[in-house]
Amino acid sequence: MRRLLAKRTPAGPLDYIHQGWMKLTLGLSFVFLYSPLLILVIFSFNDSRRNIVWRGFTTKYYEKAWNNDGLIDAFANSLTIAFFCTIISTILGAMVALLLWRFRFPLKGAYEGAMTLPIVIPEICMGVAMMAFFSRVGWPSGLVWPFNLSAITIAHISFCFPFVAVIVRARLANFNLELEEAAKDLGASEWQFFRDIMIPFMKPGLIAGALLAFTLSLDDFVITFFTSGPDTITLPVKIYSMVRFSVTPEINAASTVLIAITLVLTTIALWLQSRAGQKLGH
Amino acid sequence: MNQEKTVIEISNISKRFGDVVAVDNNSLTIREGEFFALLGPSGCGKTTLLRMLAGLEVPTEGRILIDGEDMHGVPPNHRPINMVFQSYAVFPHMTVFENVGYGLKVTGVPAPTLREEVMTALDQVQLGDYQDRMPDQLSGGQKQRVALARALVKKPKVLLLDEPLSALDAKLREAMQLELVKLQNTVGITFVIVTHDQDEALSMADRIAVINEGKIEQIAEPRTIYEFPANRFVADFIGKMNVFDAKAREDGDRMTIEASDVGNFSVSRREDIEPGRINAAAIRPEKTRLTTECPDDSLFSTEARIVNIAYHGKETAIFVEIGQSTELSCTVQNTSRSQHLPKVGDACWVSWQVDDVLLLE
Repeated sequence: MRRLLAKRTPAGPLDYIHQGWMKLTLGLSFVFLYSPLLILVIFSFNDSRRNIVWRGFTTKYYEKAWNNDGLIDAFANSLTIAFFCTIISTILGAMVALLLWRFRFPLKGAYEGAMTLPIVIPEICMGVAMMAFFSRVGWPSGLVWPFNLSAITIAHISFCFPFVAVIVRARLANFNLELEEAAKDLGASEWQFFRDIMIPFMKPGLIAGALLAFTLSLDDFVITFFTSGPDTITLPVKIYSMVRFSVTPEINAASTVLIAITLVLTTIALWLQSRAGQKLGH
Repeated sequence: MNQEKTVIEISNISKRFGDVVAVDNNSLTIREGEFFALLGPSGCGKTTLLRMLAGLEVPTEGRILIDGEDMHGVPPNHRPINMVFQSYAVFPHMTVFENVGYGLKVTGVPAPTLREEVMTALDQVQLGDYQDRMPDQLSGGQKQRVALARALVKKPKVLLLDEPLSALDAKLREAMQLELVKLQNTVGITFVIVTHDQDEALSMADRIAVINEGKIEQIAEPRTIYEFPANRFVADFIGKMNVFDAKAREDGDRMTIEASDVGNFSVSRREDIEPGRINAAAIRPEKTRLTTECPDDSLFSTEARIVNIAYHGKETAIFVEIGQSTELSCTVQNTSRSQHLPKVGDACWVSWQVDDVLLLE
């Protein structure tokens, strides 16, 4: 009797037997996420000067992109900026997270709110603010490479480190304070405890934060656009300027390389994190 | 083992957190090689007392001497004391070996010595084969053994254990009780354990301090605590106790106890009891006898009516009503399958030895 009744009840949206909805949701999310990227990658192999009609397979635009000195220089700039931005943001972000986790001080709530401001503030405002700031303080331009990238790097750090702080702070919230007491009870000094217990505990958060900082810096356009000069072009800015002349498969090729790098780095970071997670028992 | 030597001396110690008094002017000495239990309900201040010994809390007043040395201002990492934490606090990113060796590594013990001592400690807690495991591959009981080995490897003067068995299931808890006592005998280190579980304290400890609301109520051997509780709190907290209203009157070299419902009986006069201050008497359920006929031996007996029966397997708790308003619980051991159990509403006789009665102020 009960079974009969159960059969008559229509399946709700969260019933496990509702395969149709599940498949539709999966399909839609993949279409929205990946169809533009897929088209970009496919047309990077298109043997045509224009990006509209498929004319056959070729890798010559990768070669062309590789031989485009402007593009390669921009790419080198991007990697250099991302590298320094990642290191400094990770250290600064971790310090902010530790400060917020460990200490109590007046107006802490306001400080914590201010730390997350760069995450919510519109990027265009950040960009304009950075441009105004650097021209106001008279930041030197035209220095030798890589010092000519300092303004962009500083701008990138200022919007990347709050992300690191938020991630590391979330990790610290789960720290068992008895671990600290145990370490000290066993004879560890403050620094030994910090090095042996605290940093390994923060590590998954540091890796995730560093990865995020790196990718944010690598593909940032808006803020970079306002802080870059004629000889400090980054890859996103370069691609934008190339698109303004014509959309060629060369741009697709450069973008595909950027996607590939991001994918590889993300995979490595996720793998490291899952290994660390296994070790930490999470 | 020198039973006389004092290893911990606590004098007039207090701890206040703002307006809350967690530990209220207590003094206590713990002897070398002793298994000492701090027993009390949750929030009574026993853990605070333990943490002050470890140096994790600073006393508001009073003094702690460990092995004759004043511990005032000595941080936890410089005290000859180690602790097993309630959450075990096993370092999650280190193997069992690294966990146990950590306390030696930070003090610069050379690797070969470290390896030897860690393996000895792991063997002591029967984890010799687990040295390369990560903590998340261990059960709760195994993590606890790691925490134990990690503290023992430091060869402390005193090992502190904060509710060490509370997270284990009943069967494992009982096994660990025996094992801890055995381990303590082997290593000969003074153990101070904090617990809210009276069975744990009674079965493991050499001496127990019963604590209530920051104050030590009684310090004595387990048997004394159970049979001769110093006051109403201890009587009530340890085991089950039937308490009923009673007055005491001096009667030559004896005392007459007058309990309105239960009746009058005479007990030996004790020097430490002032009859005028007694206003209650108490008897443990297992020290009563329940019979259908009036027993004609030397016991005190009174008529009663059975009002409730709770069967517990190995024993049955039978609740009887005496007179108008006195209810007592009597424990009957179920020693045989064919044993006859009374029914609710039956009339019966409750009897006990008069000297098993406890007099309370």
